[in-house]
Amino acid sequence: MMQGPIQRMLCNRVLSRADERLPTAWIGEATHQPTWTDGMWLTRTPGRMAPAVSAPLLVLLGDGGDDARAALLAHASSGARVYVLVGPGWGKDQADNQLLHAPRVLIRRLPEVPVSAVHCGTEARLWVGGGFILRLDTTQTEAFRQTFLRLFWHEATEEAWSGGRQFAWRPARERPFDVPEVPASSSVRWEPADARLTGGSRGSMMHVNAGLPPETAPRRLWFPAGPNQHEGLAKLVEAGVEVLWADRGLPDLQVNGGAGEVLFPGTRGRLRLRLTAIQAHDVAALLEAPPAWRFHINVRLGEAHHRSARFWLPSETTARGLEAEQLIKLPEVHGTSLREVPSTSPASLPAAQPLALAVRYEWTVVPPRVPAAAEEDPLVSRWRKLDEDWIARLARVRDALIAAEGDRGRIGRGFSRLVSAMLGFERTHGGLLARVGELETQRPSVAGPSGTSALLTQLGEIEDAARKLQADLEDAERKARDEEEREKQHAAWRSRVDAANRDLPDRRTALTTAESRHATIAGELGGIEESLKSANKEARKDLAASQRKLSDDLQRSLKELNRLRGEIKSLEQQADEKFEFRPPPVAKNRSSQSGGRFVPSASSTPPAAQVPDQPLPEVGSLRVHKGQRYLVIQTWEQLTTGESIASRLSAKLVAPENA
Amino acid sequence: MRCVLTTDIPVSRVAAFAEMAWMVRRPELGLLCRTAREHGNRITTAVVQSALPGLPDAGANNVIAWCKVLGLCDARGGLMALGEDVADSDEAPEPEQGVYGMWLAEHPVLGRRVLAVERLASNRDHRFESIEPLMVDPDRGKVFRSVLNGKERFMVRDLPTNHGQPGGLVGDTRATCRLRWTLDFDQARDQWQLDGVIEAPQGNGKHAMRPMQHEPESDGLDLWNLASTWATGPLSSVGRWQAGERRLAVAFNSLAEAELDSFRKTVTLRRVEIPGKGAYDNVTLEDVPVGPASTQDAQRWAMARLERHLSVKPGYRSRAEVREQFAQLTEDTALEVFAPTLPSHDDLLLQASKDPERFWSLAAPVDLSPFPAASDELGPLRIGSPAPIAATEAPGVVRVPYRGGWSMRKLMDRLLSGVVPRRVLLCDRYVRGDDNLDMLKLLVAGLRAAAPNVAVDVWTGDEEADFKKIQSITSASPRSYREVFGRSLPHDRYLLVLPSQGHGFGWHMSNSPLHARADVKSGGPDTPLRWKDLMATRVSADELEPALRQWLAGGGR
Repeated sequence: MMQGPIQRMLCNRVLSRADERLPTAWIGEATHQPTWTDGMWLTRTPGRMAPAVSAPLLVLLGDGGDDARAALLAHASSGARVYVLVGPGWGKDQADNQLLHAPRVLIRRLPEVPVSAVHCGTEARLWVGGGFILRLDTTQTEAFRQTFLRLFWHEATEEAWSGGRQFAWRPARERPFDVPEVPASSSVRWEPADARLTGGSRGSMMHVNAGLPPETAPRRLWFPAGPNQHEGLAKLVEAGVEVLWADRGLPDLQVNGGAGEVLFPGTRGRLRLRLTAIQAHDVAALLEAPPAWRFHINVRLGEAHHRSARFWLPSETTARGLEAEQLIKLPEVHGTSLREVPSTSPASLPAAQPLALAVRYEWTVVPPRVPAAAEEDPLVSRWRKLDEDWIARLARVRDALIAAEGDRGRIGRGFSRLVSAMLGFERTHGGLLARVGELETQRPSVAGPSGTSALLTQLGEIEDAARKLQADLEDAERKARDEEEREKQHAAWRSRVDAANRDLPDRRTALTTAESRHATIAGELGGIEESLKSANKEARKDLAASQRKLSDDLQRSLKELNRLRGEIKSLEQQADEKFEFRPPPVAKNRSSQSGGRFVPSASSTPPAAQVPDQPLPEVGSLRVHKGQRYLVIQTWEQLTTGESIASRLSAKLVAPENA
Repeated sequence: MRCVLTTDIPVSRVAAFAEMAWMVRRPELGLLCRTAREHGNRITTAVVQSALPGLPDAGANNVIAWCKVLGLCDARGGLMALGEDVADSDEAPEPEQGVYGMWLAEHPVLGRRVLAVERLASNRDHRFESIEPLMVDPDRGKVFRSVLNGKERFMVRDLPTNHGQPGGLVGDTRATCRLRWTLDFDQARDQWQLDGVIEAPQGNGKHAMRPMQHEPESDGLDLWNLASTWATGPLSSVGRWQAGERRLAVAFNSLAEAELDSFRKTVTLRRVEIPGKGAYDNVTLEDVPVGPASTQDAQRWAMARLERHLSVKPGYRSRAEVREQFAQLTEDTALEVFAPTLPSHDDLLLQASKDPERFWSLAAPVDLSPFPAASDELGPLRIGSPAPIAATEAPGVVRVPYRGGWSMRKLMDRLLSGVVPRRVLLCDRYVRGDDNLDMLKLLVAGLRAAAPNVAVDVWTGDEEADFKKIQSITSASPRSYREVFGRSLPHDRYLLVLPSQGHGFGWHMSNSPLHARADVKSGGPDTPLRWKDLMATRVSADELEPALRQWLAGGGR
């Protein structure tokens, strides 16, 4: 049973290949260095050429021609004329000072020098490669000279001579004559670059450095171990040919009893040397030596002696040994369902490398994952909205109850007559809070379609109760406030009536006094007016002044009379006033004011709750992409549950997108 | 050999009473003189009547008498030089008398000559005391051509005088006159010409200086005789004149480099004299044929020429080419009679030991020869002396010794090696020039003497070659090297033989058989020839270049 988070799964499988067979292979063998005894014609020791003072020395200075160079210098030091053919790169990096200071040396450059060789008089020697020197017989010597002349006069590109401060190379001057082509029958001959060994009959031995294997089947074939020509070599092995190789720096060779030939390598031409019977005998000894490589067909890998061998297979750039176990890492494999992830494997397994004794395949299974662009399923959002509404309503109810609790305290403190009523409200309030707390622990999405309706009903009831509680509180507060206002208004009325009754007598006395005084003034004024009618001018003037003064006094006393009469009238009305209660203005509903507290409005019918017809999944998350519903689970433990839910919701069960 | 002699000639100017004649167009007299030339160079009545039909005898006699007066014929009617002139030019003298201004010059080459003349108006100033004898008394009866106007010809018929001494009024002149006399010994031709300036009448007695115009004239000197005369005089200090060879034998040391090759030398002579024609100073004698004065001089000269040739055209040279070159540089030259000797190969190398390029150019071709040179070939070569004939010749080698006297047929017989040829190819880059084509004729004749029906092909370079001439000799169209070989041209010559029976073979030759020369004209295939070295080595088909091999196989014909 899988446990933990759902992730990619690393899988592997091991196969044994001990019985596998290689169709063809070069197998490297551990051999000791073959011993060599100089023959009469083929040697490894240079020896000295018989001095021929009058004869010029002809030298071919090919790659690795140190021995030939030494022979050259020895001869040149005697003052004899030396003609040297060198390759295109000779002397370009560093001048050969010894050669430069030799008295008579003429050097010509060839596009390619096939071999190192020295010719003097009737003797000639070739450095055939691998440190071996082949002495030429008289016929070969003459043929070599002719070939040298052809190369010297027809093929050279540049020339220089010794004796100066440096080799002053210049284009090779025109030849003074034609050198005849060397006949095909000549024992030494410069041939086209595609020349190949001739012969190679059944009893022969061949040493071929490049190109194709021979079409004939010699007894022993030395052919470069490597990735090429396995098919041709396999046919030869099937025909009984011993196919071998050791890189000894030898040119192409072929010996067959009393004959043989050497074919030196070259890209522009090849030098062919036909061997005499004795030379062929010496060369045969070379080709009988134990090999470093041997070509096999149908090789079983599991053979014990192959454990330390090196193999060179077709199309491989290098030889290598067996590999105990090859690890092959395969590409990721995508599981079709979460349930099948552990058993998912690649459709096909690649072949192991041919030299692997065992192979271990390793791959990663990627579980089915929700698409990255998948979105939340609408069912989830609908439930979430329902939950959010649920939480909001509960919060509003709780807020209202908390506000009501504050009001209740304030009312209780303000209206002592309501203390007993407040105790009743407190019990109701506590009950409502408890029910709200209980509902807050529940969610419609958890309750599912069936439980959600009951929850919503309970919530509606609580909201109604909260509203009623609020209303009752306000009502009680309003009544207490009205009573208090009545008492206040009544005290003010009593006070006003009492004050009027107390002030009326004084006012009436004052009125009587003022009326008297007014009448006095009016009399005095009438007298003066009468006096005026008879008064002289001077008296008139005084009378006029007294008349104006008495008029003013009369006006003032009249105003006084009017004021007093008004006060008396007002006091009389105040003393006669009836008590009338004026209720205080009703405060506007605070719920309608901004920032007012919430008072849930009671509705006769419950709100139409949009309850989804499917519940949310118990595990995982539900997402949708292009019409496909996905149930994303995180752990293997959710697999079984998830499968049933996915089935119910018509969803595909998947791992998270980063699994 | 040539030289230019120059000398200044004084010009005098006089005014004199004279009887002159101007050459004017008289075609009837020209016709008469030509008719006379066709009838025995005599002007007779019949000749006059032949030229002027209808003229009676008396009239004819009058004509003849007038011709005598004019100087066209002598008293017996024989045509004189002036008559010949009239016959050639249709111009005859028209006499007149008067006073003339004349410019006169005198020299042994040109005689006493009136260079120019002008008619003067006579007056009566009676200046008889001013009349002086003429410094130059002009030749009478000789037609002069004016140096002012080449078309004006005139002659002084007479200078009338009372006391036999021609005289005139001598005038001033600023005229100058120089004689330039060119002696071309090789062409046996001399030519002299006057140049200078002279007064030209401008009217109203005024003159202006004008350059002289004078057509070259020849004196007809025997120049080689003159050379012999000079040899004993001014040339004796330069060398010894060899009259038979018309050559000056000189010491080698006196020669400049270019003179070694040209066999001509330029010498400056302080003064020379031409008998009867005056003496001339500072004469430069150009291209004097020279030869060696001694055998030693000849040997040094020959070697110097060889040295020079090798330097001018550096490159590898086979011993055969060196020998041939030495022969070419000495034979048919003044050196040949002294039989100079080409040193042996070793001696040449010794001489070139300080010059690496020369050393290798001579040593390598011998050391690295595909056909080793015979010992006598490496030995000295004495020009003109036949080379020794080898007692035994290596098989497959035909060697024509230097001056061996072989005929072309002998060579062809040896090269055919006893087979009857069906077809022969001569591959030779230089089948051109008359001498070589003459030898080609002999070669073809030599082959056809052995096989009358043999077809002869020629492959040669197309530079300067005349393929039509070759085809006329061989009856087959030659092919060009470029067409056959492209850029890989062979250096040597080849003769390929395709027998009527058996395999074909070739001869690789060190020299061209066409370089032989016949000492006689129109020789035949059996005529002994002068040969330079030629060694032919027989080669098989697979030793030949591909194109030649292909020819032997039947292609490329």
